[in-house]
Amino acid sequence: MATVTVDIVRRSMMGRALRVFWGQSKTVAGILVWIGLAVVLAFVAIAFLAPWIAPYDPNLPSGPPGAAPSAEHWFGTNRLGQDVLSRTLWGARIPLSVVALASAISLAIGAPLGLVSGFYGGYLDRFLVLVMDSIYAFPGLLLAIVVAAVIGPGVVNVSIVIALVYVPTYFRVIRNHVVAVKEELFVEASEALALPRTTVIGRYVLPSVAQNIPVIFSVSAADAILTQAGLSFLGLGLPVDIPDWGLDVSRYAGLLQTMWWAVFFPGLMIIILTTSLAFISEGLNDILNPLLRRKEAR
Amino acid sequence: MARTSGSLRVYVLQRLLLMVPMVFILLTLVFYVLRAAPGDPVGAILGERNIAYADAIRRELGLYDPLYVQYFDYLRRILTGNMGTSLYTRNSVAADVAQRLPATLELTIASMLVAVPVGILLGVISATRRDRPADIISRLVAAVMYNTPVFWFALIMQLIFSVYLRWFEVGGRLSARISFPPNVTGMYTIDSLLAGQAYTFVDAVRHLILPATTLGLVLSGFFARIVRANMLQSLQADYVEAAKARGIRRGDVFYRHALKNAMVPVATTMGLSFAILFSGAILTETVFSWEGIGRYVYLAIQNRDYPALQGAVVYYAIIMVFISLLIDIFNAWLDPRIRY
Amino acid sequence: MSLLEVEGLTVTYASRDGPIAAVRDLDLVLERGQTLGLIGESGCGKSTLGKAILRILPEGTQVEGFIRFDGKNLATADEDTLEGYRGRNLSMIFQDPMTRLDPLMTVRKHFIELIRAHEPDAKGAGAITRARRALTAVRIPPDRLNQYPHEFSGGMRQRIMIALALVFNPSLLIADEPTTSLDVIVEAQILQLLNSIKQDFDMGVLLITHNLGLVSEYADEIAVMYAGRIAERGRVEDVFAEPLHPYTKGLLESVIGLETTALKSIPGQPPDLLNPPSGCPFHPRCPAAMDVCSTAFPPTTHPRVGRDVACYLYP
Repeated sequence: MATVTVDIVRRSMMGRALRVFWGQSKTVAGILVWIGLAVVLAFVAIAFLAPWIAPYDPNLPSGPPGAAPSAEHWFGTNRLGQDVLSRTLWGARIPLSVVALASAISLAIGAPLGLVSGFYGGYLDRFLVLVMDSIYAFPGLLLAIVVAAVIGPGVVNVSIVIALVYVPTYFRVIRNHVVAVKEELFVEASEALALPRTTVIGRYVLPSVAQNIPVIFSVSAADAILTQAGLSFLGLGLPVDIPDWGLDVSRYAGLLQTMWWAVFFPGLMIIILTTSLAFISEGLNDILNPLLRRKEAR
Repeated sequence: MARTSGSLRVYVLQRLLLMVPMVFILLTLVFYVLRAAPGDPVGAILGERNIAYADAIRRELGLYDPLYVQYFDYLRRILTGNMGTSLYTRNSVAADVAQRLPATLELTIASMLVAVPVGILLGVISATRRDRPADIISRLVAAVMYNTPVFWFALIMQLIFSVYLRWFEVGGRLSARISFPPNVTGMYTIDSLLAGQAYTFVDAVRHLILPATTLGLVLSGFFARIVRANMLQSLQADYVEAAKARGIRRGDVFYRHALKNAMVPVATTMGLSFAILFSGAILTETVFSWEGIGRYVYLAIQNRDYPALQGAVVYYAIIMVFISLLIDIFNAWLDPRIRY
Repeated sequence: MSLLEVEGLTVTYASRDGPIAAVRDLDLVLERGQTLGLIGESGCGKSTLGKAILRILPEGTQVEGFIRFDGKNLATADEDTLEGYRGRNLSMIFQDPMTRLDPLMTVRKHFIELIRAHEPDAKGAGAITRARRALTAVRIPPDRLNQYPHEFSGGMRQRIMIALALVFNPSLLIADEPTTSLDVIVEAQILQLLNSIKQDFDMGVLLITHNLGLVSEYADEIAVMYAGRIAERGRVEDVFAEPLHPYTKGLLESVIGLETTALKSIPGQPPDLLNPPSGCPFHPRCPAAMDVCSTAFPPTTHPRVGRDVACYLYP
């Protein structure tokens, strides 16, 4: 009987959250999220469908080298005569797969650690927080450079490198939220009912904390894409000649004057993708925060 | 200033003590990553080339010693300031870093000078005109700026301002024909100003503007977001309403109460911004051939200069802890509640 | 001429779900040196009324009607004029003293800021003397001027707020639930303090609260507010002895005394101000409701000397 009451409290909060989210579609914040989501999904589609929608093979010369944008080559060609549009479309694959894999790893490591650390507290918590804060304060790119220099190139390796940079982000947010939720009444209530701790964590703390994950993801994913592009620009992390935005920018940096399009368009893609992710995170933040604050007001 | 509230001195002392384990942890992490991580760092960097040479390097770096010996050796060397010799420049890494540090500092400070006002401006516009077109536009601008890849932005800026418009220089810190100002801080702008060398100063500034603006604008997007969020909160604060009720003029309420309180969390994020700045500096210095630590790191990668890379990272870790200490002290000075 | 005359005041908030009229066509009069207790449930609009008089409501809130203070209509006054009045001729103290002082400023800075806002040429030394005197009047050691708000307890912070409110000897003090978040002992201290001060300065006080006990102790007259309108008004002794409006009756009956054996409450919920009931807003919950009650808001009548009621029971 008592468990049912606690369940109702928890479920109604989640239910309310979801209903409000749907209802937010017309607000500024809601629109941002939808736009962002649409663009990101478009990029994912592009990455998947690149072999079919790209007009030319990205690695084979398909036109005169250094040609300006034209009807045959919308984004022009680069020094090797490769079509820039095709390279840009194919170039979506690496960043997206790296970031997807890296985010999964960061989440898999950072979230459980944050959960445990926040919930159990004590020396373990203090130690983990110190370690994570130290890593977090360290410049992401530098950390990535160091690790990448050591473990060498490759898509999986780069993913691991990037995952390492963002583990602290997942850790902190989750941990801080757990610490806050611990004080909530319904957790106290469930503890008063002598439910085993794992049940308390799994059934009550986790759903509340889980709403943070999309926000953390969109924020760190945007940053991860920039970090990965930075790594490629510096010449780390990828075997040469897989189309990649960062890589392409670095290769044509010297030829900027004569072939600005080879540099401009890959970078533009990065901006559009990361800004869309930023839209998602900002919109989600705007929607979820008032919810949290409204709870406190009660 | 006589304060009866929690002593700032005690706080500083506490933070200094806390610094020790933090530095320790960072150094240990750097060590672990670079030595104990799977893969042969020397091999990865030197390649299959000269096995005897690689072997000699490994011996010199102590890579064949048991791990704990390496660790203590590493710590000992850091304490004595000896980080080895750069394979490329042939100087001691410590000297290399010391020589290049002022350049990066100069760039960092100049970038902050751009980022902070622009960020505050965008954030305040957003917060005071919430949900109106001005807010949406400035949020969009801030988002785009923060999410622009620094290296790409640097290249575009270079193209437009240095190549097409010829307003600024393409790279470097000083034109070739100009001699260095007498060395006081190592920052050419300040040194030339101190020495009264107007021409040198102008030249140094002309070189500094583009990289600083590039980095600064990207960082300003980050600040704008924080300022906006904090301003929205502080504008609703109870003490703001109470101040209005006392007849304090709206301008004063805005600046003295709302804005100042909103800035406190911004100061907290300064530490994070330095991290962002340094990452950005690596890329910016590379594009603009700015001889700072960032470019040093880049060259170290290109030249497989392993000791240089390690040295730069270790120095950076230490500098970073110092900066976060300074920021914490600054915060405690700003916000008297923290000292408890 | 009365100290404060409110006539036909309507305050409409702009909310996400539509306009909300928190105060509707309200009339109120306060005389010099008089303490009026404004009683009502949470959400009845009493805080809004207080803030409306000072015109410190959030942007986008509409204020219609007349607010005559000392001859000037505050409802239409421009911001500069209002800034001159606030904190000098009329002051307000709020419910939650913990968050009402700027955490980054010492108490001294709060006083100096206040004094300079109204007297730009005030000398620092003179301002500090006045600050110390104000603190002494509220029984806070004046040497604590240089401390920060977080170094004071809730009760002390409220006393600091009172000191700030009284620096310029205002003729009207609006006290919006000044002791709601404080414990009973501190509450008594604060109200006794207010009592002695108002006598010294011949100050009118609008005491906004939901605590009938406070009103009975410290107010001369009581006004009962419901759903943005005044239901009843009169001298405290008269209203308590013979409550006229059914709502007032319900309120008084629900007060717990030593002889209470069973809890009595008013059935139903406070009205939704987005969609208020037609006519008299209390009619859905009123035990004496008649058909006419749902047609239009009842006019205010005076069935006894010095009593105002808005109820069809007293046409």
